[in-house]
Amino acid sequence: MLSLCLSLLESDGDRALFREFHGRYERRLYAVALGLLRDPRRAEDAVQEAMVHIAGHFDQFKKIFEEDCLKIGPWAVIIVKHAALDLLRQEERLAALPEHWEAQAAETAESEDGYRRLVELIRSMPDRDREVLELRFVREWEIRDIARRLSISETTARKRVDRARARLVAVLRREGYEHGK
Amino acid sequence: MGSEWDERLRAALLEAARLDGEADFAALSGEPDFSQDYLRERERLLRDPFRYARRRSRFGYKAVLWYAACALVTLCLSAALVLATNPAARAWVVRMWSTWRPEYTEYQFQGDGTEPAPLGVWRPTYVPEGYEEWGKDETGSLRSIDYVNDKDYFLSLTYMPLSNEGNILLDNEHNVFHRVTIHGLPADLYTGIEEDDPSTVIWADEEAGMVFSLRGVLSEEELLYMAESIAPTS
Repeated sequence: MLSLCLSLLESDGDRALFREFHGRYERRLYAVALGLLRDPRRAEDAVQEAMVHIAGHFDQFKKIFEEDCLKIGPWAVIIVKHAALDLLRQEERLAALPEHWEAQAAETAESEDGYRRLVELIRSMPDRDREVLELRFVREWEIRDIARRLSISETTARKRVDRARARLVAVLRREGYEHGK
Repeated sequence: MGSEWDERLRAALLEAARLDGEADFAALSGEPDFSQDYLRERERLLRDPFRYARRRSRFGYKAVLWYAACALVTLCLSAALVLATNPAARAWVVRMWSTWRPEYTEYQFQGDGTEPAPLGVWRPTYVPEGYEEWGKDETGSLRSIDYVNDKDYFLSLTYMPLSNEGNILLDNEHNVFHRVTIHGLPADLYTGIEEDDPSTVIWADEEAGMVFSLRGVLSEEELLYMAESIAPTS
């Protein structure tokens, strides 16, 4: 991963940086999209949408890149996942994704670390709950933009974010962690 | 949004994405077999990523149109429209209606489920000076052809069978709405407010069994002239 950061740093100019990033991450993002969509052609669409979004919001890319190069990959994973969820939403296939969430008990000693447990819980969340948290806290969208994306009212969007967040906090507290510490 | 908990949550969301991405990548068997369409668009993107993204953002609705072909929608054409466009007896009635929302108008339609006639390839015989063909998709059930000029202004023709189920969303926030006709068929025209806001005209041709949408930064007259020049090539 360090070599990836170095190769990106060596890119000359934004265009070269984007091309280097595209070459490095295309397959990875395709794998994420394919995992959700189960259709190679749709996965291609999601990857293309994600890459176009990243190119169109390159200031955000550079901000994260300068903050911590290693966060570029996970950030891009979230972008492509949201592109895939958009496709599912448009095709009305989103209902096929699990909605109910019952947090699984901590399985490993590593989970004694509250942060690790928080990551574990996030990974087990339904995609729709996780999506609103990612939009709000990673992509830093305003509530009104989340509402528009999900075709819901702002009040409902705010409630979904608060509820998803509160569920994480509730599980952590029940297990003796304080806000993932 | 800067509380310690929010920052921790953000970091955890990114970490979760990283782990999921690694798991998905590990599960990927072999090299992806990308389609020719994808490779073509990828080449265009990489040639000039930021210009490509700017062009696509002007026509963000196109993604909605692309997905709309698969969306389930039911819709009714007014009886007047049916009688005005196709007084002859037909075995099926296409239904299409529009719903006006705060920032966009949603056009919904549903056919009767019978097999549509071959879609064919439709093109405008008139293309304004300075525009050249930029891309096309003339193989699927949602077809399109795009033109671009040296100012990066797009012209985009999109069409799909009325026998499909689908919906189309058109921006009505930055436009003025008019009712017009295309070859005597009722059509909805949204003219851009600012100088470089695109205008869109949408209409259904029941005889041809198609819904058409033409969008571009053109005067009303030129857009309608171009719309009326659209004809099948095969």
